[in-house]
Amino acid sequence: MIKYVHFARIAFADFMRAKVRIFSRFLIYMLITWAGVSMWRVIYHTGHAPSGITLTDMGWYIGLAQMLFFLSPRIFVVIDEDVRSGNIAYFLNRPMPYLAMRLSEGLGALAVHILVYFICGAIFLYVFLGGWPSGGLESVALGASLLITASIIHLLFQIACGLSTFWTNDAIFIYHAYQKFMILLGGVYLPISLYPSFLPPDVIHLLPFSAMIGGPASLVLGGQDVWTILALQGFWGILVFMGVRSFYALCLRKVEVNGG
Amino acid sequence: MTNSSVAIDVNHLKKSFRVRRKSGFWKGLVSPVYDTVDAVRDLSFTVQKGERVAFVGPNGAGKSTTIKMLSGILHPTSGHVAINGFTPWIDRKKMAYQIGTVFGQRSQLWYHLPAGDTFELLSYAYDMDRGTFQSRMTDLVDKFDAGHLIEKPVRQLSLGERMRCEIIASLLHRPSVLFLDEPTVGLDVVSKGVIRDLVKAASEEDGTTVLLTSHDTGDMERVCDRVIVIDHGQLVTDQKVKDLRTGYIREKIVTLAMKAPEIALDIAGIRMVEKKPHHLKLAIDTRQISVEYVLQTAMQASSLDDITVEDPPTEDIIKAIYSGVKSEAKRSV
Repeated sequence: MIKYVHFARIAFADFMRAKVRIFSRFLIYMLITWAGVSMWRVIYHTGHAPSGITLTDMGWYIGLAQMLFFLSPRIFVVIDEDVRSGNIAYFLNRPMPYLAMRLSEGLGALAVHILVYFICGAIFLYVFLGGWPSGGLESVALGASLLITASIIHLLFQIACGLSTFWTNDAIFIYHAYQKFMILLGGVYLPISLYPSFLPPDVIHLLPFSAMIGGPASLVLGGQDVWTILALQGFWGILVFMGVRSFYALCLRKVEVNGG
Repeated sequence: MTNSSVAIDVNHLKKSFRVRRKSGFWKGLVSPVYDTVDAVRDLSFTVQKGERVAFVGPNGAGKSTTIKMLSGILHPTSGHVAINGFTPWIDRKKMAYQIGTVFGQRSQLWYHLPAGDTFELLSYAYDMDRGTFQSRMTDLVDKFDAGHLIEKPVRQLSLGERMRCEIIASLLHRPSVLFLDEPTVGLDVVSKGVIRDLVKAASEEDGTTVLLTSHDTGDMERVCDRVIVIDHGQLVTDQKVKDLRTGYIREKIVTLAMKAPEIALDIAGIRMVEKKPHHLKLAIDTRQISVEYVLQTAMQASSLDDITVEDPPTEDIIKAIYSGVKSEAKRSV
């Protein structure tokens, strides 16, 4: 077990060193959040505000929902590159599973982003939105905590996308498809409770995308119950983990190392 | 029953790949047709512990595929392999502690990190205790003269420097079998020499069994005692490197520096390689004529300032082996 901690530790140190990368990612996060909040500001000013949700609450919701995309490192790119370049050959004959190694590194990098986004992101949102949401700091802390578990599930999904390279030779478009589902069904730009009737919230809430994005973010709106979201995350986390393991076993039989 | 002196035991190894045949978009989607390509066909050989063996063959001969099966990365279509008694694709984890791999065209070092950090990570991956790791790393870094390299991020290293670090990384856990797949590819002459000498010295010191694939005959001559030549996935020859010359050389290269500006040597079995005033370079087919007879004839025509008799380069010997295989194949069609 200790070996995985060291892989995470080195990845943490590596990501901490990349200050330009951290800064540019955070800049993009601020821009996207600003765009999302500005859109809602227009809606509120035209008198179409959803009842019971203040603009500040909505701003915090958008800020937390967007955060998920920035917390996890782009681990699917690393796996895609390993498969396409053939470097995976090196990692397969090590006395530790390749996926566990990459997941440990992903968790190390995630820890860096948690520090940056939970501190700087909270300060940015507080200043930009002019205060805490109605649920107070406590609701933000709860939502943020669930974003950590959500990011781990997101890492597992990314691993599955990366492994798809064994068949598709390019994981990017698989990841993009997954990302579109997250945006569409996760409640990234508006809370799931406001979804149109043909996308019934009761069903959408059960999907992993909602458990990863809309669920944790909705805590600042006084939405879903924390334990329900956590239970859904646990269910999807275990399911995706088992799926990834089976998929990896299938990939090992498919290995044909590129380039001789 | 496994012989304890055998490090690598390969029996009737076969690997076939299914390759999708090119066809129109819709046809390929609805009813794809596959061809079977045999990368390795019925390959058998053994390598004794501590031996250094070169695995040579032209592009597409099946060298890398074989190494990847031996190191547990690829599953064979059929056949049996034992590395120190382990079946690589079944006992992958157990075997991982006993083997090291170096793939010349790949990298196991973390690109943005100093190589020293990768060594540290690998020591954890191989469950090395801190004392053993520190002494082993110090020892290898000294031998490979890499003290100044391991603090730099890998992206700042030259190819030769990176390859030295790659080999250290592979030797760190003291593997008893080292697989090297084209370790000197892309390196300059000096770096090649350094890598060859270091691999050989490390193998001699630790008794490491080495299986090396390369297109460069220099790797074979400087590092290995034995050569296995394969082509089209089949064994062509398996012998000591020094015996290659006696088995396959049909020519001797003779260079003459003469007093006379030129001499006529119109003898069957002689091929002119180079002709300049006072200088002749000849290839003599020793099956048709002896070197002694040619030299006597030359000395009768002119007095000589200098005589050099050489074997053709090893590269030519390997070429001769390949072309021998091709002409055999043509004859059998």
